[in-house]
Amino acid sequence: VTREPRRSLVGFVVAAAMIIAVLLAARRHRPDDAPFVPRDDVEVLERIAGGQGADPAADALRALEAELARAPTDLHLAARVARAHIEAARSSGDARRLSYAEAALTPFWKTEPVPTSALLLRATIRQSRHEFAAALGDLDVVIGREKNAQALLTRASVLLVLGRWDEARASCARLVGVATPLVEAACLAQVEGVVGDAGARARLLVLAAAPGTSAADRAWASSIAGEAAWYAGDTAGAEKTLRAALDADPGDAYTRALLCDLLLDAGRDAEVLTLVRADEPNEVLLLRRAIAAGRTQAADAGALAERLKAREVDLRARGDHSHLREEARRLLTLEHDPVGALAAAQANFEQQKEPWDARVLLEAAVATRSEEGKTAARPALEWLARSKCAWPPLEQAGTALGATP
Amino acid sequence: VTRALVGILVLALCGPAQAHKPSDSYLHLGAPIAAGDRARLPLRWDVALRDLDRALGIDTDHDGAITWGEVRAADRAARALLMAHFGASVAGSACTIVDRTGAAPKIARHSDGTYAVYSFELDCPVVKESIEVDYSLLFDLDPQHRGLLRAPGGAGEQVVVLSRQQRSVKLSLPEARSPARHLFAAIGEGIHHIWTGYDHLLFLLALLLPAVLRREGRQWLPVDRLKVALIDVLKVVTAFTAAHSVTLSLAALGVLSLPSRLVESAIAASVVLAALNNLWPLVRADRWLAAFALGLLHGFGFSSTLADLGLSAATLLPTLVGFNLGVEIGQACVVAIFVPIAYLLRRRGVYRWGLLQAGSVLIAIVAALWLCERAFDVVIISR
Repeated sequence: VTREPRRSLVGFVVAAAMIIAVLLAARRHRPDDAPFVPRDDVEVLERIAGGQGADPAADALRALEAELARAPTDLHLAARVARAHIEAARSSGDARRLSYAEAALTPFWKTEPVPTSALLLRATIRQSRHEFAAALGDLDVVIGREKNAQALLTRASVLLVLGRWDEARASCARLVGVATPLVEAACLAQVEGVVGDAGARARLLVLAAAPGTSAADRAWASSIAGEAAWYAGDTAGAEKTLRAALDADPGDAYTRALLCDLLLDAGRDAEVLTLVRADEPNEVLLLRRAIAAGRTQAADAGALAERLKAREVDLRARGDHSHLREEARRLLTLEHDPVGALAAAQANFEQQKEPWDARVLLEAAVATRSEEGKTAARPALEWLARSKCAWPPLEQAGTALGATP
Repeated sequence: VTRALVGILVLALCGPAQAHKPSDSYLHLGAPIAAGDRARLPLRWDVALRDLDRALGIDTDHDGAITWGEVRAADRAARALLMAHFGASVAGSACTIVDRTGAAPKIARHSDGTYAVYSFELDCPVVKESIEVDYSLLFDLDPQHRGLLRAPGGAGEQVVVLSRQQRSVKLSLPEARSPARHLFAAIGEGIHHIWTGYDHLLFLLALLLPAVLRREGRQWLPVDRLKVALIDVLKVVTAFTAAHSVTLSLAALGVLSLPSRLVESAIAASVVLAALNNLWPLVRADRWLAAFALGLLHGFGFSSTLADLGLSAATLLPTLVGFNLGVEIGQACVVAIFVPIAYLLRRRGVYRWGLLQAGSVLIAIVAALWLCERAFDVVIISR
């Protein structure tokens, strides 16, 4: 009888070892896309645009689309539908909406010459898909026809992304007289934000604060000024301005992502977790949450990383490579794969050259601690020298790379 | 740079434009099955509910939430839509896409949302080593939509991306399987499923643990002869097998369909019960009856795996028979390994106290965790 507890212990250990082995082996099986039958008819399987409850904007758009279906050759109608979808894509980050805009405009892109409004919208769609050369082509045609404010502004933005600052500045300068002073100031502040003149930012903020400026304009201007302030090293000012922009337009995912990045740099991870909810559908924002969750060892860190990885696999499968900057950051911060991150950052830098593009390339190169890393990051160092961008994290990464043996 | 300006539109450059994956549908073409001089290929097709809504307006109450009821209500229209936008031909002669299941679609989660899963079958007039596929779903509504088609190739699996610019593709196919070869493949799947279907395995173990013992009063005593143990095992395993074959067949034929979460939760509960019965025996002599009753449940569990194998009319019978056979073979292996060892160990305290008691406690705990996970849809231990 006295031996029984000991035997029981041995048996327990044996059984436990067997079951644990089985469970460990089990982790790999059962595909994620295994089909199932839902519980009952009222079970909600998917939330679509608008989320909960009625959405008057969605209803209005639906009516507009029905009208367009009856008169598909009505350019004015098609442009309204396209603009509504592009707006929705902007705030929600939903790539499908860009495609719906494309569908509405496709018939007009086949006509010769393509009407100016259809060209302008195509440039916008192409720009958001990172087809920069094609977007510039469209914009140049529009500008060749008329001095179009929208075209000049968009062109400046595209040139800025491509690192062609002088041309971007020139495009902004041509806005004088065609656009409001606020638009012109915002255009310039965007460029000067990268290649450094605080005066442009200050002028933009003065114009934005003027009475009569709409809330939407103020949000837009604040976002640009906030980003420029951050690049100039004024972190406190940047945070204040970005928060003001977000207060004026809480749906602006771009500004929210900027603020998250600023907070992540400051080590204020907990604040990122409150800024981006766990059920956030926008995955650019979700990456920020995942980084903060990983650093604070939050409960959902692993699940978030898995989700972002699965999405990446699916994006690859469809042949999509327009999100390499985000992918490089994901690999570097969540997967701790500097070599993979370096490859993504390098390919990304060939497409676009904003401060973040240079930064992620430098940081990935530093993390590899290799001669290859140094070679791969050379374009980013050249960019840094040419732009004289004074963004502290970027300069730090440059210095760190130089100090790498 | 994502910024909007009243009257002037400034759009995303590098910001959230890629915050969601664009629209894709996933097609999985199965290996061809020879049926006389024709070939039949099962096709699983996963379509995003958001896309179905865009094409068919399945969110009929416009509340921004798509429910299972709405998916089922749109089933006919959805199948008609899909069948009208997929074509295939072999050596110039067209295959027909057939919807033979008639059952409701299933649901699957992909990285970017919820999808409806439809099963079709391609019926092709001749058997050849290649097939031409033509895809046109959603291209008029969503020009960036893609169809990602997986198919077995000559050497491993091939994946092709179908787009508005590239609507058709020629795929090389492995040699058509005869129904007999299909049977063997299904047997393999069945064996694999038992060895990787851990809830079934633990259930079986819980049932087998007391087989080499008999209950006397409040005590477990070893059985005297192997024959006694074997008869007990035979009764229990046969009852389990017969029961799950019945429900597996009913589910595969589309006669019966139960919510997955209910089935999975009930299976976990059955494992808990089987393990607890070893600790506080309620069912003694009639353990085979309990095995039969709970086996009915496990059959529904198997059927979800079977659906993954791409059931179609041509493959239904060999798949069903083969899968059942495979499950039995898998179980027989478990029995063949377990029973002799258990018989040899039966007189030892380690067996009675450790393996039976402590093992049953562990099985009950693991299954209880599964039950919580499945019933409340949370992750505690990954299965």
